[in-house]
Amino acid sequence: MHLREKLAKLWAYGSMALVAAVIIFLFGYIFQEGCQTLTWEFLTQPPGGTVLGSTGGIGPAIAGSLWFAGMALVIGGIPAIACAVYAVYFCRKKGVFRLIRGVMQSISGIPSIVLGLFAYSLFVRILGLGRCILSGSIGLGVMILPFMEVRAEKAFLEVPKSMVDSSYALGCSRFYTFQKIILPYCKGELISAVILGGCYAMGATAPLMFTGAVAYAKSPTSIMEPAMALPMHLYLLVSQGQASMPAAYGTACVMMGIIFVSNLAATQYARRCRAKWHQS
Amino acid sequence: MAPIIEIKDLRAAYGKKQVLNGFSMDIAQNKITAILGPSGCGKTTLLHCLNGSIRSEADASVSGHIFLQGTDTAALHSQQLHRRIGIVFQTPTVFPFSIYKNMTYCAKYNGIRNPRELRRLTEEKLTMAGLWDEVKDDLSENAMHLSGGQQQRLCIARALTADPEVLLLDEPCSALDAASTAAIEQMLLSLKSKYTIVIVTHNIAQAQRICDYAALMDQGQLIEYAERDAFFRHPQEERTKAFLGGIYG
Repeated sequence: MHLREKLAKLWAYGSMALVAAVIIFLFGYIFQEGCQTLTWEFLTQPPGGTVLGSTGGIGPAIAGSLWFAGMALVIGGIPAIACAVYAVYFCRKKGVFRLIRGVMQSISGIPSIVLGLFAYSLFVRILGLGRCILSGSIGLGVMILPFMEVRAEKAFLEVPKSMVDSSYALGCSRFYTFQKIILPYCKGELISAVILGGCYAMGATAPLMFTGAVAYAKSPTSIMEPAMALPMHLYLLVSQGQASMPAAYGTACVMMGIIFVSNLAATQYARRCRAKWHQS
Repeated sequence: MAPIIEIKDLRAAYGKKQVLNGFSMDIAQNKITAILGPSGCGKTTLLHCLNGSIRSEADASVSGHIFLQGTDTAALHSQQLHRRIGIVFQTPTVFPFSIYKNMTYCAKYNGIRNPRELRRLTEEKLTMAGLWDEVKDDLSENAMHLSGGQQQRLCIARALTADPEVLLLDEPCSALDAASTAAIEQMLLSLKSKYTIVIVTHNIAQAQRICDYAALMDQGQLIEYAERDAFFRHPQEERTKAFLGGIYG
């Protein structure tokens, strides 16, 4: 084997080993430090203590994060999938298609803190919604919109064109073809995109800081209430110093656990759906 | 008998590439018309113009007229045109459902829900396609598990469930073995009493075996169009003689 090939192989394997080592260390260290804190009380109780979070748990923060992520998926996910459907199956003009692509790329380049500022200015101040889950979710929804649109578009483009053309050739409408052929084919990938979009939203702090997330609140019962959020709570715990570090590690452990399990579930579900589709 | 399709000065282009250049031809009803020609001469584009699927191509432009039973197809909605002029593609594309679900896909879209009616339609069209005896014992089998020849016959049967007036076939046997090809040719001969069939083929022998009329295309134009015997035994145009003689194509 030539020296250049050997070096390239060494570089590839070495890089892979380095990345794997970093990820294993990251996960391992967080789980090692955090799992000691993980109890049922920690997962369900609100934070307490003179230094907030030094005692108690993160129950309301978990609930709040789920509310924020869920609303962000509604606000950002529905337009994302609709946009992807239009771009792949209805858009005839290249100029319009390029415009959609350009807009999505532009949105994905907006810093999340700027999205937070936008949501704060428009929804919290001008429209008077105040700090609430809705205001925060709008910023999050805009943030995850291009993330999900790209994945949804990719899923639709993977549907064999011959199958779609065969359905049209029978005189069936686009809606019927979408309902019977396209959606079942890429259902797994779409749900995977939704779950990953939710994970992306759940890990974002900047859009929530001034729009909906607060240092302390009960578990939310309405989208017009402010709520705690896991990333915001983690930020506050770390900034409070050593007294809150065990809780910080526990919070990080829960966040990464949710994201890890969601990713795994999303990937496995997409794989199962595809296998089931081919066997049906 | 009046032709079922009249093509008048048809021109089609994809972007700047002109594919059909003033193509004109009549297609006889309840006959098999074979379209022959070298690769890239516009045969597939012609089929796509006939059934309207070219309309969905972003950079395609079409001019001229196509009349179906006296009606300009440009005035027909795409779905309506697709129903009246069905098409079967070169590569068999069955849906990854059961055979039964493939066969009832179009019928359910058209509002047929009665299980007995769906079953009757399935049996009728699969029988027409010469596939019923091979699959009747297990219609729940996934259509992807069928052989290539069976899949193509299923595609033809499925196209027939829309009850088209004309059936277009784009090199339906190019990917099939001799036995499957023979089965499909027999099926097409039995179908022509009920349907008008237009078949694009590279196989001159196949065209000779099954067609009633044959047409040679080249560079987007009609070179020669005649009844089978006249076309194959006494071609008038030099290019037809050269094509049939195997000099080009």
